[in-house]
Parts: sequence; C-alpha cells; structure tokens
Amino acid sequence: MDASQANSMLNSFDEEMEDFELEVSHREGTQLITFILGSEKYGLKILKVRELISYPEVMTRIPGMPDFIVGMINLRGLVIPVIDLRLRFGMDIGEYDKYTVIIIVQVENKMIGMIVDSVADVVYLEDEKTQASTDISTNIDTQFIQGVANIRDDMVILLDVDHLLSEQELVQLNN
Amino acid sequence: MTPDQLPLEEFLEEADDLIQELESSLLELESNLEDRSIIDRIFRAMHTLKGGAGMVMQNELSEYAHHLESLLDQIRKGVVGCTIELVSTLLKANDCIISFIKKIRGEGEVDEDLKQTTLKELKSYSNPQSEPVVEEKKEPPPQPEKPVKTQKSQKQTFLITLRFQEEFLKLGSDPLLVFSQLSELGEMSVIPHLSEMPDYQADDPEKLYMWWSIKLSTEHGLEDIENVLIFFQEGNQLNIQSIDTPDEGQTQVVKAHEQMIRDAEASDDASTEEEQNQKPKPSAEPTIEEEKGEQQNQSPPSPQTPVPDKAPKKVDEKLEEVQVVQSIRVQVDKLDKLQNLVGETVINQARLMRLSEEIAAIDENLGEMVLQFVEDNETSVRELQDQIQQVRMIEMGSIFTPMKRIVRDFAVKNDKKINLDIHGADTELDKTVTEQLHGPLVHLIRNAMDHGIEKPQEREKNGKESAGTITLRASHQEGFVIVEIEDDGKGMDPQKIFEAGVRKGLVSEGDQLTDMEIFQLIFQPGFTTTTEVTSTSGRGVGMDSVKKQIESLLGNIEMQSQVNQGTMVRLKLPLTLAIIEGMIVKVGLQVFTLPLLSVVEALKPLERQVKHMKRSGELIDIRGEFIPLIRLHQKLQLEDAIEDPKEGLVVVVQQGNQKHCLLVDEIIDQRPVVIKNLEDHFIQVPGLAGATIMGDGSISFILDVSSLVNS
Repeated sequence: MDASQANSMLNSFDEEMEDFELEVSHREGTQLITFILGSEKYGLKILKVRELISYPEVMTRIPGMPDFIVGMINLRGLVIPVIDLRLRFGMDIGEYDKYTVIIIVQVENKMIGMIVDSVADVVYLEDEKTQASTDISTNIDTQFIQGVANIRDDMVILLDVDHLLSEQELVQLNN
Repeated sequence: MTPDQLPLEEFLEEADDLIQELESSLLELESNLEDRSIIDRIFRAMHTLKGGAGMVMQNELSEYAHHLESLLDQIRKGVVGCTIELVSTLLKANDCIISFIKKIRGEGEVDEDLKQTTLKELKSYSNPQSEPVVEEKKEPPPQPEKPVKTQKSQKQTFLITLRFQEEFLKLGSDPLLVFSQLSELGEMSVIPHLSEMPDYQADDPEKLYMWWSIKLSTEHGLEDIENVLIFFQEGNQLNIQSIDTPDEGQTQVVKAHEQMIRDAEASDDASTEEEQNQKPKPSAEPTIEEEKGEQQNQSPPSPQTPVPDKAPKKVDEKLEEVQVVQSIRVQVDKLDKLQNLVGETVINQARLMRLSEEIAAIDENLGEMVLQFVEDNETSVRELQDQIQQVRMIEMGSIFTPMKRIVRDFAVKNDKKINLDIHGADTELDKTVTEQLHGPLVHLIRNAMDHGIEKPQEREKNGKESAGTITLRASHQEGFVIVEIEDDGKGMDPQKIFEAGVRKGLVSEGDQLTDMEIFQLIFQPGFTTTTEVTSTSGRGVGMDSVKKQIESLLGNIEMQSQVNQGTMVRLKLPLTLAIIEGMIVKVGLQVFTLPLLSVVEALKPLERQVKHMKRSGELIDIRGEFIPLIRLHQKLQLEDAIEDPKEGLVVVVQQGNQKHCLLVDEIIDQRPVVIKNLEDHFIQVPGLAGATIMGDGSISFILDVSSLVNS
C-alpha cells in the first residue's frame, strides 16, 4: 500500500465533489441586481456592478454637459462621472433622498455611476424566463432593454448596460 | 500576465534591447568597417537572440538568426570581408527581425519579401569554402526539452490543496489565475472550502478566507504543476500529492498527506492565536509544501513525518536565483498604480495640513503638536513622490538613438548628406512621456531632413558645408524638459508662409502678423507650403498633428526659422504625466486648475488696459502687447462669476507662440496636482484635460488651455 488508501482518498474527494455540485445546481442562471426607477423595477447583471454608494455630499458639475450627466464624484481617489437614469430615460427628475443609490457600473475598466431611486434585491434569472423587449410597453426607450423577466411574480426590465454605455451613445452624449 | 507567458514576455523585452543594440552597433560598424570589437558585439547580440528565440520555441526566428549568426561568425573569423553593402543587408535583416518580433507580439506579420531578399543577399556574401552546412548540423536551433519529458510520463492523478495566505488578494494575486493554469494541464475538479469564513460582521472583503482542494488528472509531471505554482510559493501553503504513482515512498506520502490535512485543520483552529504569538506552526512539510518568509526559519519540519523530498530543493534554487538579481523589470502599470497611490498620499497630506490648522484654531497646543507631525510627514511624502518619479524616469537617449538610423536611411535614399548631432541624451524624462514623444520626434526630424536640409550641390552654392546637420538637444529647465530639433537647412520665409496662409484662407491679405504669429500658422490643420508630396513628408497633415500630440502630453511647441540659416522647433514638456504644477483658480462657484506650464503671468488689469476692438473682440494691453481676452465663465457656461476684468484677475497663458488672457475670479493656490484622466471613464469634455482631487476631497477640473482658446 496502499492502493486502497489512495482509493479511499480519491473516493472521499469525489463524494465531496458531488455534494458541492448538488449545492451549486440550485443557483443557476444569471445573478441580477434589481432597482427601482419611478414605478418600474429594473434588473442589471450583477457582474457589471462594482459597488453601490449613497448620493454623496459633493457632486462636481461638468461644464457644458447635458442635464442627465449630473457631475463627477471622487470615489476613493477615482474620478467617476455620474448620470441620472431618470433623466437619461426622459423621466421626470426625482428627489435625491436617503434611498437614492448610485450604482457604480464597470464595463471594461471604465466606470460610471448611475443614480436610481432605490435598490431592491439580488435575484437569480434563469435564461429561459426572459421575454424579448418588443413584447412590452414601458416608459423608457426600448433600445436599452434586453428583455423582460418575471422573477418571483415581479416584472423586471432587463437593462442593457453595454449598449447604454456604448461608444455611439457616448459620442452623442459628448455632443 | 500569466506565469507561462513570462518567459515569452521576458524574451520579447530582451529582444527589443538586442535589436536596438544590433542597430546602433551596425551603424557604428558602417563607419568603422574593420573594428573587430564591434563585430564581436554584433555577433554576441545575434547569438543571444538566436538562443532566446529557440528557448521560447520561436523556431522560424531562431533559424533566421542562425543564418545571420553564421555569416557574422565568418566575418569575425576574417573569412568574409566586411563591406558597406554587407552592413546595409544586416541592417535590413535587423528590420526583418523586428517584423518577426511584431508577429510574435501579434501586431503584424513577418515581412516575407524582406526575409527572402536578405537571405539571398546573405548567401551571396558567405564564403562557399567555409562550412555553413556543417555549422547547421553542429548547431541546430535549440529544441525545447519539455515536450520530450512530458511524452514519457503517463496520466497521473494529483490531489492539490491550495491554502493561500489571507493577504493573497491584497497582494494583487488571483486564485482564479492559478485554477485556469492548472486546468490547462488536464482534467480538474475543484472543491472550495468555506469552513474558515468568519462571521458576517468580521468579514474583511479584501481578505481571502477560502481554501481549495483540487483533483487533477494529467499527463504532465509534478514539475509542470510546480511550475504553475512557483510564483505563489512564498507565504502560502500549497500541497501537491501524487496519488497513483507506484512508488516506494507512497505509503509515506499518503500518510503524510493525511497527517497534513489533520495538521492543517489543527493549525486552522489555532491560527489566530498562532499569528499573534509568532509561534512556529506545527504543520508538517510534506512533499512540496513550501513556507517562505519569516516562518521558514522558525518552523522545523515536524519530526513525525518522514518526507520524501526531491522537489523542494529545486524550488529553493529557483527562488534563490531571483534574489541574486540586482535590478528587476517591473511592468509599467504596476508603477502607474504605485504612482497613483503616492498621488493619493500627496492629496491626503494636503488634507491633513488643513485639518491641523483647524485643530490649531481650537486648541493651540494640540494644534502645534499635530502641525509639527504633519510637517515632518510632508518631508517624507515629498521624498516618496520624488523617488517614485525617479524610478519612472528613463534617459531620452532611448528615443534619440533610433533616429540615427532614420537619418541614415533617408540620406542614402535622397542623395543628401546629413549628420545627426545628439546632445543631452542622458536627460531623464518619464517613460510614458518619452515613449509618446517618439512619433512627434520622427515627424519633426523627417520634416527637417525633407524640407530643411538641401542637396549637397545647393548647399555648396550657398556657401555651406555639403553635409547638413540636424541637432537634437535635450535639457532640464525650470522643472520642465526642453527638447530642441534644429537644422541648418534652408529655413522658412515668413512671407511665403503668409501667402500660403492666405491661399488656405487661414488669414486675410490685409492682416498684420508678427513673424512669430506667422510661424504659428504652420500648426494649423491642413497647412503646407510644399507643392509636391514626397514619401517622407509634405502632405500637410504634419505639424498640426505633432502639435496635438505634444499638447496631449501637456507640453508646448514653438517654432523659429530664418531663411538660409535653418529652423528650430522647441518642445517644452512636463517631467511626468501623473503630477503637474497647477495654478488653482476660482470661476463662479467652481474651482479649476491651470497647468502652470502654460501660464505666463497673472495680473489685475487697469481700466486703460482693457480695449474693445471691432474685429478681434476684447483685448488686454500688457506692456504694449495686445492679447485677446477669454472669459472663462462664458466658455464654460458658469454662473455667478465676475464679469468685469477689472474686478477679477486675468491669467496670461501661452500655447505655442500664441498668448491669451483668461478671466478668472481669483487665484487660490499654486501647487503640484495629481492628474486623473477623464477619458478613463466614458466622458470626454472639450476644454478639460483632466481632473484632480483637492485637499478637501472635492474635484477640480484641469483646463485644456489649447482647446479652450481655439474653440
């Protein structure tokens, strides 16, 4: 020997592996963070989110920028632009209160803050539960929407962050 | 960078150095054909390149370099004579090697035409009497040894335990990287262990509490697994356990493994206490477990586990090798991060200073003490800032030297005689700035060669030496780096430039411009005076793009020229891109930063100095010079700002040869500021060069003077 001993080691590893896989299988799908804008609930892939912060004391306005670019914040030494999603989607301006959250989104090393009314939950979305965006009517421009999903009896509008922050959009944003 | 890319990355960096050495040595050889020491140097560089290419399995390059090496060997031995033509071929061959390197980097393709022509030319030089064929047999491109080894071994199973230290993530390492590397070796399953996760409240998100066990079935040997882990040996507990190798020591191995798990569990429970007491760990050191750092000296291998140790020695050797090295290559982005951190420290220092003044206002004694401390700290912070900056500095020679080749090739091709004089090649400048300076510099030198330096006959006719001279000069002045590119060519006639400007509609016929202002026209987009377009320059897209690039480095460009005397272009650059000297000004409610490099002076104008002109708008008369006024609050659409120049302040800024007055409310401060790029995060704002963080944590935008005055 000890082939048997080696075998028992392997077996115990495999058993442990099975348990682990079983546990993981219960959490399938994409993890989303959901937030509220007006009367609607939106979802955003959690992997795009870097962190959540409350509305800061100091917001520095950027000269010559459209209204929805609210300004820049100092996030522990990083200077990050912040947009107001309500204004971006052409909704009425909301009041910034203690529920107001800035979602710091990271796409390819770039960061931007998005002001939302409040953050709701973290949920799992199974891919087959998504409907195409053409099927729905909502307040906002459908081009930023990937689709709609029913999660725990709640309608969640899935936001396409990549598109929202795409080159083309930002060129327009800069003009 | 993943560890298995390391050798390749190292080779590429080495290759860059070798190529540069080859080139400068070849140029030297060109004027000293008989100098044996230069030939030896070239031979050695080529030999190193060949060997290196073979090591990283770049056989095509290795083979090519081998041909070159053979020829160089013959030259060295005197079998083949060294001629100008031969050096030319070798220079071309060096270009071809550059294309090889580009291909390896994934940035291009090998220049096949060049490869074939150079190979043909090489063959024609080499002496048929000597033995290139034998040579080739004697020294085939080195074959990597690894594949041979791996073929021998059969599929084995390993159980691997990875317990990284808690600080693992803080150190910038990533466990996922290790997994992806291991998974490349074979079939792998991983179990994450969360048993050591602390309570929700006690959780420090920057610490690593997980550990993993891995089963890996692979055809690779133990050594390959070790190679993946070699960079993580220090401070971490990594165990590799071979399971089904029929081996004498196996019982012991398995026992050792079980013992190890038990020990590990035991040490887990005690770990906190242990760390505080700095007590040697009771853990065993079976097989390849490596504990580096302080603990290594303190922890004797536990006595109850006899351990078959063949691997650890090897690891030790490798680590020791690294320690002997006196200088290290560091990725620039690591330095960038470090410099950013130092920048933060500088900002915090300013914040501390303010705070201690506030404390002094409340409690004088305490304030005095705090202030004393903060002032002491200031010295260290400044020192730190200087030191990190020093680390990033490289000599400008690194971009000046390649210019020799460009000048040589151009002169040969265009029947001109041109000398390149280099002064101040040891002037140091931030690496990023230096690298970004390369493009503009090539452009300016090409301009000087093409439009400046005349043909030899023409020069002689004008009573000049037949060979023209281009002087490249670098120096430090007042905290900036000045680079001058000067030629003794035909110069530029302001009148002709003016006429061309009129044709282009940049100025109108009646305009009265000084010579300085006329030369400024050259930097306008689309400006050119040459009617014919040459392959080198003259497309009229030149100088404005040079100007843009220099300004993107927060620098300044100026030009002077005299007919038949020559032209000089002068670049003024900040020492670094990360920190600049800034003038902090207030406009309305917001605070902005002006790069001090552009600021000439600041003043409060008197009534009689402010003039209104119908065509040019408002001007400020400063000692007889009329300088246009720009109201910053208008440009930036800001409210509540001072609108009367007599009540505010005007800051005179200079870009190129142009001056402007900027109207601001007041000047708040003048000090170094850390630049944060705005483009990093989606938004580009015309008129803003970046942002910086003030002592109170608020953001101040850095104004881009050039785009402000030109919009």
